[in-house]
Amino acid sequence: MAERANRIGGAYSLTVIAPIVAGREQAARDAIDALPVGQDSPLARLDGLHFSRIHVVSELVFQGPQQRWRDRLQASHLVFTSTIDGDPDRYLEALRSRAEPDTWWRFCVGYPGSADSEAFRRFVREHQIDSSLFASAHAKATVPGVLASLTLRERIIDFAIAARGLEPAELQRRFRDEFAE
Amino acid sequence: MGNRIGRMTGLTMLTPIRPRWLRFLRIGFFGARYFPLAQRAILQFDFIHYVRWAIVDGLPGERLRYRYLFFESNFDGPWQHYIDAFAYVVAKWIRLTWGRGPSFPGPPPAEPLKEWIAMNSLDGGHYYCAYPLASTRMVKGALEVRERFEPLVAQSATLEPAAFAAAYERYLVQVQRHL
Repeated sequence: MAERANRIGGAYSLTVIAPIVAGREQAARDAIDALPVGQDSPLARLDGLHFSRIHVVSELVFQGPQQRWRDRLQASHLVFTSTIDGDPDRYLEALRSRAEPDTWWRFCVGYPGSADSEAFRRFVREHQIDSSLFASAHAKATVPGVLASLTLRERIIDFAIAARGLEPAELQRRFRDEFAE
Repeated sequence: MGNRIGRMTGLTMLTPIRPRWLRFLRIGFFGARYFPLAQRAILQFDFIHYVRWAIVDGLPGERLRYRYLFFESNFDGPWQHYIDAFAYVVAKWIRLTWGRGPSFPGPPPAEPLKEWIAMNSLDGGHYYCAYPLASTRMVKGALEVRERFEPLVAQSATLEPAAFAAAYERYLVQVQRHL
């Protein structure tokens, strides 16, 4: 049941929280901060990835006097989240083989490295926290579907501007030239 | 920043759950999965791409007095612009989720909620989005534009020019709000 809560439509929410080895917190932060961003991010190599975030949590925010007990973390924790299309194990294999995940997880306690596919998958799964509720405005849309739709929208706008005032036969001919396979 | 890219913002919070509220929260989340009204209330503003809540029962190597609520939302940012809408339009859903957390300022008004989010927002790190310049409205619109477009392409092969021109005009009218 918990695994089902990670899904909405065709999307899957992966949440992984793993403790960082004592004394390696700043190195983990520096490694994460040094990752190239945007299309140069190693995560951009993964086809079915909508969103992802990697960051370090070193303390739990104390809510003030109404919080009866104060929790203090013994270790910093690395938080890794992804919103992906489809099967999480397939995603983890792509992540392992194409996105250099050792860059951030090598600072975590018990991380086996990415060379061993099964050990890598087991580490991530053992530190996974299932969503209680996951929702989306476009839950059925895949990443390729979103990108193709955005590109098509731009092409249609360009065509509509260029085709204003054309006679029907010429409109149809140009439309087919532009859009018919 | 670590939680901004293009027009996207990732908001992450990890906040304590009052022990007595835990059971209610589990039931509430379970029900919300099968009760579309709750999800529609959250997503009605057309600026949230994805949002997740997870009850954290424990962390490796830690002895915590509380369970924690992990919250992550990916939306068209920045979040300060939208908190007013949340605070007034879906106030009861927000209160149901966090309203029994210590010191949570149940909205409305919006200002204490903004301060509470600013206090709990986990900043820094690395943030990635496959379509960082596309708002939620743009994505939903583009998906509809594409879905409606495929029949028009098929019609372009079979209709006479005048009938195709009429179908083309109808299509533009149908999708113009997304273009």
